Amino acid sequence: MAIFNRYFTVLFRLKTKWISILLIIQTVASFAMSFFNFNNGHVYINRTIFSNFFTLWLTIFVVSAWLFTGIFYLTTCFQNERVSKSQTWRLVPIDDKKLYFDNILSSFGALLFFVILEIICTLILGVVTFTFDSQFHTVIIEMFTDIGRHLQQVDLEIMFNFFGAIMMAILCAFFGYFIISFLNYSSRALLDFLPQALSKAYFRVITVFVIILIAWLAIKANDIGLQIISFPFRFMMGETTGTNDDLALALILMLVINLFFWLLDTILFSKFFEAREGK
Amino acid sequence: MGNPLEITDLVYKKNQKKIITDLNLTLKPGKIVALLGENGAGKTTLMRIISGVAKNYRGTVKVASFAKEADRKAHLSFTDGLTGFANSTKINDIVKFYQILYHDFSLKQFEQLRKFMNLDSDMRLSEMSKGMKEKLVIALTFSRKTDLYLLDEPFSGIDAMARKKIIKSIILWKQEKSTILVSDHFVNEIAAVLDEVVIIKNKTVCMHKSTEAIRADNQSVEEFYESFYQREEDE
Amino acid sequence: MEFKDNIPIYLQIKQYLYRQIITGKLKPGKKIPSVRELAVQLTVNVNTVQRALQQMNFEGILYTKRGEGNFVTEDTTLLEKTKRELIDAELDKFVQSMNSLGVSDEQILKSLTEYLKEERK
Repeated sequence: MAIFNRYFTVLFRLKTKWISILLIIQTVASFAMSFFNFNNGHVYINRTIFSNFFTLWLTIFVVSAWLFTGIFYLTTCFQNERVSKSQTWRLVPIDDKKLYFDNILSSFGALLFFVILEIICTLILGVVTFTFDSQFHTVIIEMFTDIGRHLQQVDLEIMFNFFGAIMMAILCAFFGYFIISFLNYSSRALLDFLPQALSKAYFRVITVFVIILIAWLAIKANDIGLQIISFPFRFMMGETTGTNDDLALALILMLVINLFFWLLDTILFSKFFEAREGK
Repeated sequence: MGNPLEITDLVYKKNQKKIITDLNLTLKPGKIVALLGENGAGKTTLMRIISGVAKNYRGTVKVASFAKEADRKAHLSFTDGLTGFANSTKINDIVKFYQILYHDFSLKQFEQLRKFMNLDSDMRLSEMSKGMKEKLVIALTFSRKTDLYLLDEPFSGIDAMARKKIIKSIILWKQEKSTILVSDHFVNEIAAVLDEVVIIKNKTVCMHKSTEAIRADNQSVEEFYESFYQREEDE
Repeated sequence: MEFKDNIPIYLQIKQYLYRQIITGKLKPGKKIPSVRELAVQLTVNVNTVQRALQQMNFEGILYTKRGEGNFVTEDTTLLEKTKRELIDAELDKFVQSMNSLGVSDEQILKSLTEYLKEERK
């Protein structure tokens, strides 16, 4: 197992290489945006008055966090495929099944690390805002007392919804990795090793299949994604009656789909997907 | 420990084209062997199959008696073009990569080789000429202790001085029991250091012979090699 | 050192070492360079050097001290013999090539004497 861990370490380092730059860009950009928007101490965004510079900065930072997490997620997707087809990475004496899992896991690890850093940055900025903006100060204190009140009512269902939503987000992240790998591997493997006529037919079937799958997931994700994003807000409002059965079913389905693609990707990767010639 | 390399009945197709058919090859320990053949004869492909990065072939490939790909990778050292690294990567960082991922990589050995090749460890890949890069690749390849070394055209497109350095490093750093397979489409420049030649033609090994046996027939290795392709032109 | 590629290299290495010994670059009773040193110096395969040294050991012109390496023999009669053989071989080549030019043995002798007189004044 030692090589698995060492390979993970090196991959994790590769994938987290741009984190600091990305975070600095986000911080500076959100600062600049709030700086140029903040004149006379009165800014209206969506009917909300921002009377304090830090509050504005915090808001823009939090909103842009979603965007930057998305960008970072895309960089990890890109790195996954780069590693997969690189001869340098594939000459390392590790089983291809483990290599693939290492690759995906390290990307997820990097993503998790990025999200944690985002949360820490938000908290730091939040503390600063908390000390400088009295309005924000009172809102936060109200919020915490609200949350405290709701926490007493937390039952199994709310817990399930909460962890289910997190689980769903994780599964979606993995699904993205798996589906991109699948498209990459299957198209390359088909081109390399199957008769031309056959590979064209296969290619069409797979494209249609993947489009249907993604369309279905997009519809599902609309519901579930909304549920995930709105969860913290609804929780604060004390509005916790969720569509419980739906979530459970979606979770199981997603898990099965993920396992299926993981298996398929592993087979394609270890049996058919060649590293590019590294000359 | 068995032979460093044993290939039986290897067949490999890609894009509908047969690239290798019914190839058999066994290499004994402690030899320097040239893999000769025209451009596109399948030398690189053969090396990639041996190293387990080319897939979906039939037949068995064993490196030091190991057939599983991961085990094979552990028992051979292949000259990789370092394409997995960004151009801004420093030699030092590449060495770290090797140190972490290859347990048989010796930093001491690498430092000796690096000094022998006159390479500066703060240099970036983008700053290096083709010859320097090839020297670095050779230094990295020989810093591992394995049964089989696969050098894929280490002399293509580099100057005479770099070539001499590389040939000398092969003699200096080769362990007694390990075997080196070096591919090239010229043989002249390395003929003197070879034990054996393997000639690939028509998608398979058409000749495997000791160089001193060739010379004992008053033929130079180059003439011998060229005669195989001459015959084809005469036909 | 450049080797001809159509003559077994171990034979050429032997020839090279004979010359080194006869011209005194390698002295009787002294150690010769290690196999690897010779291989690097001559840019040839280690196994080939090994083969040449083995034969020279067998002939007696070299002898091995365990763990120390190869040494040149101190047997002066053997060294003399080797020198004579080397000279004979060179003469053989010379005479053969003259003969192939259609020069008879007497003419060779005459031409050589004249040549030495003229050129070595």
